[in-house]
Amino acid sequence: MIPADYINTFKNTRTFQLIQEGLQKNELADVLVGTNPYKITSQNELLDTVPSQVIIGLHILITENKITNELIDSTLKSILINEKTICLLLDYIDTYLIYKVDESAIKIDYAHLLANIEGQKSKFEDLACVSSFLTSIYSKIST
Amino acid sequence: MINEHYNSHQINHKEHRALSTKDSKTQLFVHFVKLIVLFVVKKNTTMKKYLFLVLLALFSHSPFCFAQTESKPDNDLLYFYNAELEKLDQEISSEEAEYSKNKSAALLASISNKKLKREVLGVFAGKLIKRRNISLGAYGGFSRVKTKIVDKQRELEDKYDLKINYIIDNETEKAVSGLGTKVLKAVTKNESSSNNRRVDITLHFYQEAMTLGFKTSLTQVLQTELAAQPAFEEKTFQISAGLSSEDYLTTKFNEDLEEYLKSLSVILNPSNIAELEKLKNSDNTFSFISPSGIPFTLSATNLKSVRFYFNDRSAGTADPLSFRADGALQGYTIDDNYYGACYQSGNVTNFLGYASYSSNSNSCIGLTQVDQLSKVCSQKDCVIVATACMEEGTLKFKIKKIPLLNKAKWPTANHSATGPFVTPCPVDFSVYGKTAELTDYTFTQPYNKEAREFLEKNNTCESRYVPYVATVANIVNTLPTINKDCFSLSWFITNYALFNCAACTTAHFNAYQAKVDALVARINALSTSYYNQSTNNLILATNDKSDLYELIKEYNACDFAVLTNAQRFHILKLFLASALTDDYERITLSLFNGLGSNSTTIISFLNGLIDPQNNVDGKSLLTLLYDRFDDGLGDNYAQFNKTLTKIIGSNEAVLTNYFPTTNDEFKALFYYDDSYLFTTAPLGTHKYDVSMSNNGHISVVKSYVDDYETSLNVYPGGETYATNTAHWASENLGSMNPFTVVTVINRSSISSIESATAGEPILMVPAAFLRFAEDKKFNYNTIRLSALAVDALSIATGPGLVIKAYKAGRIALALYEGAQVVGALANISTNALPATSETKKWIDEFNLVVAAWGGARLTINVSSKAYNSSYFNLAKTSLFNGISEEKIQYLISRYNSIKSNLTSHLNSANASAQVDKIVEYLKKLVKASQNIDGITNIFKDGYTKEMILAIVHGQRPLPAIYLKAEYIINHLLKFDGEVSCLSFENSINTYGQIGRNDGLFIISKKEMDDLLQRTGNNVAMIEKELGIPEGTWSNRINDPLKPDKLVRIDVKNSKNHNLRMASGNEDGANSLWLPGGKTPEGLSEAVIDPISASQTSLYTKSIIAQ
Repeated sequence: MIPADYINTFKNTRTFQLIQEGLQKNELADVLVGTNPYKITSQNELLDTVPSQVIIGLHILITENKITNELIDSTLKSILINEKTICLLLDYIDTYLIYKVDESAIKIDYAHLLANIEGQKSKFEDLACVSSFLTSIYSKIST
Repeated sequence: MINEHYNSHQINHKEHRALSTKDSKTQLFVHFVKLIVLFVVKKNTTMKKYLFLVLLALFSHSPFCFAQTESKPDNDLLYFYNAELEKLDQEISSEEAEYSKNKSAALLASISNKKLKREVLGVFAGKLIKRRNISLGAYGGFSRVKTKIVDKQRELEDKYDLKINYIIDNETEKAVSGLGTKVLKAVTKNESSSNNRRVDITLHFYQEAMTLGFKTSLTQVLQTELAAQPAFEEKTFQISAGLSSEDYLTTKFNEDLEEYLKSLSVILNPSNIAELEKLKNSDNTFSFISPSGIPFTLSATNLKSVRFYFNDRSAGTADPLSFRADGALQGYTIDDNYYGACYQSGNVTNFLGYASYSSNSNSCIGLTQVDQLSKVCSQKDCVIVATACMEEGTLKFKIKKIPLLNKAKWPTANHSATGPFVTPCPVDFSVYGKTAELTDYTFTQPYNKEAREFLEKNNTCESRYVPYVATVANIVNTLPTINKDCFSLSWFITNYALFNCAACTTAHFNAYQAKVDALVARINALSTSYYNQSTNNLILATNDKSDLYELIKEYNACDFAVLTNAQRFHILKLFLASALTDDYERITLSLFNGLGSNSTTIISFLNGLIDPQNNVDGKSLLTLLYDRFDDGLGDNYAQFNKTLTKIIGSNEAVLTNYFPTTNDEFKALFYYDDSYLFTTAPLGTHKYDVSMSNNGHISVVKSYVDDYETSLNVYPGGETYATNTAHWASENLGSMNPFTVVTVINRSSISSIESATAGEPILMVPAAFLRFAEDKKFNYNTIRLSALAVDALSIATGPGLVIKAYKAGRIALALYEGAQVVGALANISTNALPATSETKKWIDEFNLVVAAWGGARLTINVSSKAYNSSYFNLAKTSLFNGISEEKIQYLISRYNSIKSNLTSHLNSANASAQVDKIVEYLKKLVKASQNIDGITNIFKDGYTKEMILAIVHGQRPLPAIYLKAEYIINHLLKFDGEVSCLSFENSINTYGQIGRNDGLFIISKKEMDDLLQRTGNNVAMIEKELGIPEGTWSNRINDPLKPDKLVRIDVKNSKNHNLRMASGNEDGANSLWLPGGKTPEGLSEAVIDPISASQTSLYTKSIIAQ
């Protein structure tokens, strides 16, 4: 459960403003990936965005009817799976599985996305994050 | 039967201790609730908030859970009390300063009052810290309490196996009311001691005397043990006097207590078996493990002594190789009868049980002892073993109680533990059970010099390893014949060096165990027949490569050691006639490793590698070795070079043979990975082009920057900018024998190079190594931005910074680099320089250091005065640790004898002027950098901040293009040593890396310290200080889906990680990035290479907020 006071605080952050801006400019894919100017991580982190923070932002927007699940789902699926995005997408799936334990506003066809990634994962065997995320994801799915 | 009675530790029986009592958890809980209720009634609203949090946290647990106090304390509460401690510290410090100027009675009273409060709060905090596993990284006040009070308390408790409780009496509590101490008191509790060894210390505040009294009460057990000591009277300390605001009276008291407790002798010694008592079973028995791996239990009644196995036996005994399981029970004395471990004479493999010992017959007599007790092995307490901890080549012994590896082996009653001898003990050494230390044990047979050297190289306190390390040491010590013929000491050290035991795993242990077992088995086999002579005789008769491979593929080091050189050459000729697979490379490596220590054999072999008579298809064997070896499936090529280097460098006679004697060879000074700070290489930067001819000889062309060429470039917008290009001059150094010893200064970070150079910064290697270096391109193509100029600067700025470099352990490197830079234009001779030359004194100093580093190989004007025995200590750490002090002296003398030839060779008409010109250049840089803070324009002419910012991310020029060189030097000097950054733990854990691939942004450690001090680790304040949008980081920490932790990373040595200015093209450089190395908030920043999270030795991580 995302606490109400956390949501209130979150709505005042630059992170949420960026997500809103991205949505308004029809740049949701850039928001999801963290392309500038939607980068929200610090300069020493390997990814440009934090999936859990983006999901919380999307959760707020969807409860306020400002975005649809279809748009989120289709945008996620539109992201090209490559060396830079595969772990990010897996992080989204992993985080979403945590999210949907207590929340239901966002509905992502994660199984489809996961299948797509599974189909291409052999190309990214060198990335340790792939196997660690997959292990984490399947442990959540199995429970 | 033979009875084993020698070389063991022995302890004797004395007395038993009483069993423990335990406190009532329920009573504690009830007491807590009462206190809470009272407190809520009295305290204000703010305190109620904290109290509510505490209640909420605690009532969510059962009373018993609470009494165990394992739950995590509320962060708000910790933060509150930490803030109180910090506040008190600051106020005390401030008032003390004020009091030093104005001796006001009121001020003194205020200071005293605050010190009392701080003392009491510190004691409560100490109890809290001690009882809970909490991270104190974010709590400065708590951390100080831990250091000042808790650490000492824990040390005493561990050392003397007791518990120390601090109790605040009611009167004192009243005096410090307002701190909410009752709450803290409630969440802590007095600790019980399982063996009733407890020290209760009551704190009482004497208001009139302004003193704090520490009154000590001991449990009966301790009273008895300390009966011979004078009573430990109450200790009182003046609250206001003596100690600074940083000290606690409790710390002072702990020192007194420690002195008193020294009379408690729980440390084991051979004459007192009482130390065993803490390891006794609850039914008044002791369980040991027999040398057959079967537990053996004895009644404690009338047990007078026990002995444990430790394999330090000397050679020449009947069974020198029958190593027993270290730590197993070797024998024991009941009443006056000794029972020792027995085996059948002539059959060393079976343990026949414990039986009576007769010193006259040296054999076992009487009935075999029977273990009549049936025991159950608990999780942690099981059998008592003796283990050793190796430190500086010395073993310290401990006894400890640990579980069996396989509980199913616990025997039923009435057994005598007979069975095959096993090694090691089948126990889980990794478990930390009850432990006590033996202090008086000494070896029955001292290790020889070689064995001690081996032990010194294998320091470990990992109980699992020690028996195996000791086993190898025993082989080194006791079997000199085998050592000489088959294995050299360096072979033992190389092959049986321990892993880094800070990270040792069971897998490491198993691998090491298997290696040692194999060694023991092999040596056992060798004790009857060293090698299969008939097989070796077939070598010369085998002319097919595959057949030869099949013949020798099972050979081990000893087999290779007894080959003749003719056989070795035959093998190499066949092998090298065509490409080498990994298997062939490994055998070839073994062939080199098996050369042994006979210098005549080695020199003959090495010479044969370049003897035309052994050529294959017109190429020397050595050339073919370099052509054929590669690092394809591993690092065989690197290992080959390492082996060749060790063969030459670790043998005095071989080294002497290949020591350079001709002028030409004195050109061989090599500074690899000649890194520089500027985009444009500075004057004096070296490069080498190396090639190996078909006859195996090495040719070197040395290039160096002797001038700059300036050119103008045009931006797309039409503006022009200037760039400097280095002008490289070349000098052919000629040809060298490939085994001539040259000196290489290695600063490469390429792992493949480091694997061949053992990470040594300065090393002597055969010239052939240069071919390897050339192949790896770690000189020519890996010029990195690093700190050469900084080191050179250290030289140029005078002795102050040279001393600094020395302290950092870099003097030799720094001096060498300095000499390289100033001597870049020619191979200079100090004799060619004027006496007043500033260069001369540096090179003289350099020579002194080089002398210490292995024989004054390098340069110039080395005289007998250059040698100083104190430098030998430094030299011991080099690759030349196998060379005697006298040898170094000899090498120096040899240089002296050829100095005149050297001088004439190196002399150059222009050397002096050229060198001093560069010195002037360096001095200008230094002078400019000293005034750099006053420089308002850090940009070179024609460049501005706006111009750089106008260039899009990814296309910005390197900083050296547009920033003044002296500014870059000065800026990067700020990052000398440790550097720091902030990051998030989820990112590090998930991606296994700190920093993005193109650079990790860092600030100096001092600036990080200051930042966190200013903000008190408060995330909101950190965000503000760093210009992070409000809430961005704190929301991540409190993220309900994936909570994160803000962590601080301290990287130990920036220079090892390619320290450089940020170019603004890094992925981590956002729109706020500024050219010039400053953040918008004014912090100085730079970039280093990212660090793998698994390389924990390179950095430390601490949690700032979670």
